[in-house]
Amino acid sequence: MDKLDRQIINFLLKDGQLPFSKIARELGVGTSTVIRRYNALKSEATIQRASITIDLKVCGFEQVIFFLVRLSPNTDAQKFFEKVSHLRNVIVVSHTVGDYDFLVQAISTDIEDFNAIVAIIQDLPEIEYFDLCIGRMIIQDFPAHAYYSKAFDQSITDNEQ
Amino acid sequence: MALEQNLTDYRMKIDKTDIDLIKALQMDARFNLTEYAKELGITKNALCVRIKKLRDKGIIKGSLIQVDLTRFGYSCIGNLGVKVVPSRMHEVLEYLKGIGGVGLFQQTIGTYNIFVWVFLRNVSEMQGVKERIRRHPAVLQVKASIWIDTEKALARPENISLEKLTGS
Repeated sequence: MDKLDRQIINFLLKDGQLPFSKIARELGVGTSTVIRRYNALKSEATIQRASITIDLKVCGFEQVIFFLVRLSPNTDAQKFFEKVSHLRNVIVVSHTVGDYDFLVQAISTDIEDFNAIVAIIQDLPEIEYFDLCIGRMIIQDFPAHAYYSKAFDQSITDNEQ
Repeated sequence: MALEQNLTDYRMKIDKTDIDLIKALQMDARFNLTEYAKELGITKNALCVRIKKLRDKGIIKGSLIQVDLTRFGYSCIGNLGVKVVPSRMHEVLEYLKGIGGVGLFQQTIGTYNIFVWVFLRNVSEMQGVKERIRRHPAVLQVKASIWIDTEKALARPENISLEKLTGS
């Protein structure tokens, strides 16, 4: 990844639908160059996808729930990952090391919705125990700009040094 | 509640085609609108009108690309659960702002009362961050998890249920 790649990424982080021709003009390169770079970044999964952001609060979601999961011994982590990845209103699933084996992040609209997701997680036989953190829907846009831009800006600063 | 208030305003209601459109855009915001319109049997213009409506309602806010943060020199993404003395919450939240590597965090209820996202250059920095936080006198406990395989940990819009917005 070179400077041009980072510049292209920087534009698209703010607006994932920005026309390639516009990016090309801003950077003083050809449109086909930008398209080529974008496709390369996508095929190597540096860029995972271009997505619209939706407002979770407007869609009725009021809580964000973090499940910190410890799996039962001898559980197939891959199978668990597959199962949990398709659950309704589960927005992030990550296999982890450290004090827990998995992070599962879900969202809910109200108490009923919240109870439903907790009941499902509680019933999973692969889970030995889990800890739970419930927060208000503070970061409303999803996927969150803040998540990507904060880390990316930091990396731009580091690379310029 | 916010959602019920929204739904009583009939203009907030959306239909199944709108939901399918949102889902399609979430998976790839740059897909070919003309082709999609053809598949749905509507005009491209009708599709653009729907998108504008969804933006006006505030459901669609904008767009971005999702990137693998570990490719930008931040090979360690993790989470911390922090338990603090409740009366000193504000003090600890301020303290966290000054710790390198700490990204997003918010107050929570449950096992921990602060949930933190960390973005670190490498795994060995995690211990240092954990220690710095634990050192604060109002911090009772810190637990950490480090992400493995960030490619597969992509945020999943496809699971978000929007049916309630149709008013059903």
